[in-house]
Amino acid sequence: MVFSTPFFLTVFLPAALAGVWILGILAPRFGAAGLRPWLPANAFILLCSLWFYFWGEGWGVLWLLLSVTGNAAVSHVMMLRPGRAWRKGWLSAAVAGNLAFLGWFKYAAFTAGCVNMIPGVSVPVPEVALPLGISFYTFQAMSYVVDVYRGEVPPARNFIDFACYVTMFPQLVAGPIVRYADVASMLERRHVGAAGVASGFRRFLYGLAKKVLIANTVASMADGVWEVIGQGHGVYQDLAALGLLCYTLQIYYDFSGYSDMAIGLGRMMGFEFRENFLHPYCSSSVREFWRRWHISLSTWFRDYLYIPLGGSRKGTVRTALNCVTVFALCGLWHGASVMFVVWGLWHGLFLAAERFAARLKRGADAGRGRRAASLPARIAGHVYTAAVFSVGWVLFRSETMSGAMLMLKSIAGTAEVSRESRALWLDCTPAVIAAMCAGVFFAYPVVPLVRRFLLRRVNSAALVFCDNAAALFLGFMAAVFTAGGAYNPFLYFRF
Amino acid sequence: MPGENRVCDRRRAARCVNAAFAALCVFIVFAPPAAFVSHKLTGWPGYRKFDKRAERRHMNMPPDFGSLPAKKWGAAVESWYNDRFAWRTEAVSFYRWFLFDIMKTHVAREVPGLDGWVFRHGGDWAELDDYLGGFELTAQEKDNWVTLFEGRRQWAEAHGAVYLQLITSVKAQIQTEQILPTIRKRRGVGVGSQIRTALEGSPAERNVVFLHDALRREVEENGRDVFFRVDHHPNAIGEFILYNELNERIREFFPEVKPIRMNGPADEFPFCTEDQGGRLAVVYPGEENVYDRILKASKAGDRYPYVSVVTDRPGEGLYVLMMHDSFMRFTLDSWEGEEGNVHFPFGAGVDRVAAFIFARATTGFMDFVMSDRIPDIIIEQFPECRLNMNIIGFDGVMRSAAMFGRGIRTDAAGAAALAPGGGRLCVRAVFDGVVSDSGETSMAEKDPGPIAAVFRRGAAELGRMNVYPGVKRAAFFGPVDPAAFVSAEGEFEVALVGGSCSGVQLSFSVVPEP
Repeated sequence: MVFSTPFFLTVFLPAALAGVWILGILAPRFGAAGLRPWLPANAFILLCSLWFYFWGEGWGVLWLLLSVTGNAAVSHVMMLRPGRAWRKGWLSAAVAGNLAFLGWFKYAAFTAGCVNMIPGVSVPVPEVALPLGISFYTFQAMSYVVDVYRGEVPPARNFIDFACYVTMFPQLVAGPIVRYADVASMLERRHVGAAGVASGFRRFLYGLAKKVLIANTVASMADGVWEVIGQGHGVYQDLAALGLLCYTLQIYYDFSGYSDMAIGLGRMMGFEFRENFLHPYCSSSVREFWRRWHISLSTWFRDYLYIPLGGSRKGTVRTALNCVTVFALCGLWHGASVMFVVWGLWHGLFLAAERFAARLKRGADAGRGRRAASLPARIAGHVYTAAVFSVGWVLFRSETMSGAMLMLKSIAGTAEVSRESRALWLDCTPAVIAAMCAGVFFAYPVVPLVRRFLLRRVNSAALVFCDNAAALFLGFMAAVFTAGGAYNPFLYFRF
Repeated sequence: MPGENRVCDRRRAARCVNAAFAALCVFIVFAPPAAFVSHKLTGWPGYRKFDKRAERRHMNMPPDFGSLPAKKWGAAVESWYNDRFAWRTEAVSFYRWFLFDIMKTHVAREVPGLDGWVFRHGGDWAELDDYLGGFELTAQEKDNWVTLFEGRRQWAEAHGAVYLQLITSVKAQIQTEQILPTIRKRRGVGVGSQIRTALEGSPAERNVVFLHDALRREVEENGRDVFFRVDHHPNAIGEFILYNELNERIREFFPEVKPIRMNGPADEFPFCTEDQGGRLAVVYPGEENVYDRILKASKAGDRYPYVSVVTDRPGEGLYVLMMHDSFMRFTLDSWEGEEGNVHFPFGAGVDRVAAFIFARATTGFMDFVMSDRIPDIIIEQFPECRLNMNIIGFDGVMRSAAMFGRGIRTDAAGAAALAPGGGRLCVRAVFDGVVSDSGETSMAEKDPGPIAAVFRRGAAELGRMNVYPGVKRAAFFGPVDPAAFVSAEGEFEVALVGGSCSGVQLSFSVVPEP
């Protein structure tokens, strides 16, 4: 089930919210009756989440339950004895199990395909259907087991709480990757009030608008350009550049819109998830970009892979190697394709280079104190970062290296152009142009700046009113566009 | 403290605003399911129902869970629900209005133009894609079309008929003034122009009629629209122009045909009444006032018979076989004029018209319909954007026929004297009164099965193709390399295996070596 569908908005969401709120109101009575107050609400969220997952995945929900049960059991057994060796053994088993689970479903066919590329080797390619959101929930469960092992969080007090945490529908299929430490206390006790609900709705509506009004609108242009590229034809330079801009906006607004909706839904139910995107396109370095882009994933890799590998503590070469390794795996996490690995390596190499450059600069500046970057330096850094992530998106979106090169050549104006791509101008509609303008504008932290500026001058109630009104208007338009998606007339082509 | 009080008041006000907002959101979230349920339970008409007429389809049925895998249950339920949720029709109307009318952005492949005009793009009717020059035919594709037209011309000629290929322009190529300027300024070369250029100098050039110029002239010189505004068909004026143009081309081959009116402006037709029509666009469903004016003529017969003989007057007039689509629907209208009942578009001189809507001139189909009676004119019509799609009817017969037409005619002696390296031999055989061994004289009664026509010289078989029982049949062989028959003895002959005929004429032509 997708958030931006009429069914989710008008059936699933009201049903889920009604249940959670009613059980939330009754929580004190459950407490008085000796029950844990929020356990019924958590159980209800778990049921809703399983329904949500079953809707798109059918009986694949059993794999989800297997993952949840397995990780809950291992973390429980791990804590039965105090010995380090015992715990480490179970941790290894859990990590290996999770990686095997993810590897089988996501990478078995890819690996077999890679092996078959070796001359003379032929292994059967397994036909495995990829369960929805497997990367998210496996990483989430794995982080829990590791955190329990490290003693950073206590094990969940009961299975329902843990299952609720892993399967929670707002973040189940598209993140953010929530840490158990962030929600453990909220699973025990939380407050659902008007302020939280209002804030949740506001965030949800903004997210819906980002997804439906911007990401979906610019997607047609990006898809059109990549479709022509996929057929092996070059595209006119201006169209290729527009296509890349559209994809750059699409992936950001799609993903961050989803994260916003997840955060909003969480707030409506009393949970507070961490931010997942912080205006990444305004970054001045690739390092900064990864501090702002898909934060829950980058911090996951930092905490559970980069730092255990030695992080930046083992010299320049080792740090660079760690960066590249982590980002290659981060690329692979996004999908079983060589292009994702190339995309990861692309970012990893720039990150390693930046660290190296920073170390050199620190050496040169030693004793002169830390200085803020000048405006031209910041602009140059911004242009450099934009170039890196834009080329990165070409690698990310293209299915083959030759396709990516063709796209890059098209942008450079050196590709042999197919006249068929002229028809792509039909996709460059006023709506797409408007969405592009809005997308570029809001990619920068304009709204937070304006809000901060106004807070000092305007009545906060008036500001909240304007904020709410804007969210309502955008939410209304997004809902209309969502309903418009259900408009599927039969076109009388033959007549 | 007054300052603190003010801050407290502001915070309280902000909390009130948030509480009101939360309450409003809760109401908004719960209103659609509540309306849906009350609509189902009580029939409360709180919102407009799915408009079957507007969307031109039935509502999706409830899913049959038994026949679907569990993974598809959700999608099936959503598909059912998407046609029924509360205020769907209102939301869709607003969506269309905002996107199409305000943002000038295409909806469901319909692209807004100026002054309420609608064009199409993508799919089977990629008229704007073609307008932008989005389809570049390869040299091979262009040659295939030219070869097909040449083959058809030869094939028809062998049967004693005239072949006319009508290529009707689509709206975007004619009503260009109504296209949005942002699209208009990027005009490219359409497929029609590409084929037209490729046909220049070909023997089939005269037989292929591009209706673009006549329609465009009307728009440019008289300033009249020739297409519907919210439909992709030509309007009555456009149809009249197509009628005139068709008759002009027929008169080039048969001067005795007299159209009912050659130069009269369409809107002066005395036998037209005004009516609503021309609203196939889907962007305006439910908007009752969005129609084009249509000039409706009194007519006889059904408008869209799939197989029909439209006119069958006794007499010695011409017999027209026509394969067409809805652009030439006027061929099936008959008009009451001063001359009495006039069969439109074929004036005096045409007695019989067999028209097949949405049929294409494949060899097999033409073999079938020309089994009993050979038409004088074979007309196929399709729209320009079809030229970008799969070529239909381009088979071995048409290839051989085109090659025969491209060769230099010779006689049997010249053909027999052909030496290797001196060119290749093409042969046309025309059979009269072909009868199968089982006695069938036509394909009309039952499928008689093919009869083999074998081209040979002495013992050397040089070609073989199927023919069918009928009053007249043509077969084409070759090109044949002379090495295959140079050592054979005897005359060239074509014999029927599995049937017989009352007479056969052979013609020869020589095409150069490839």
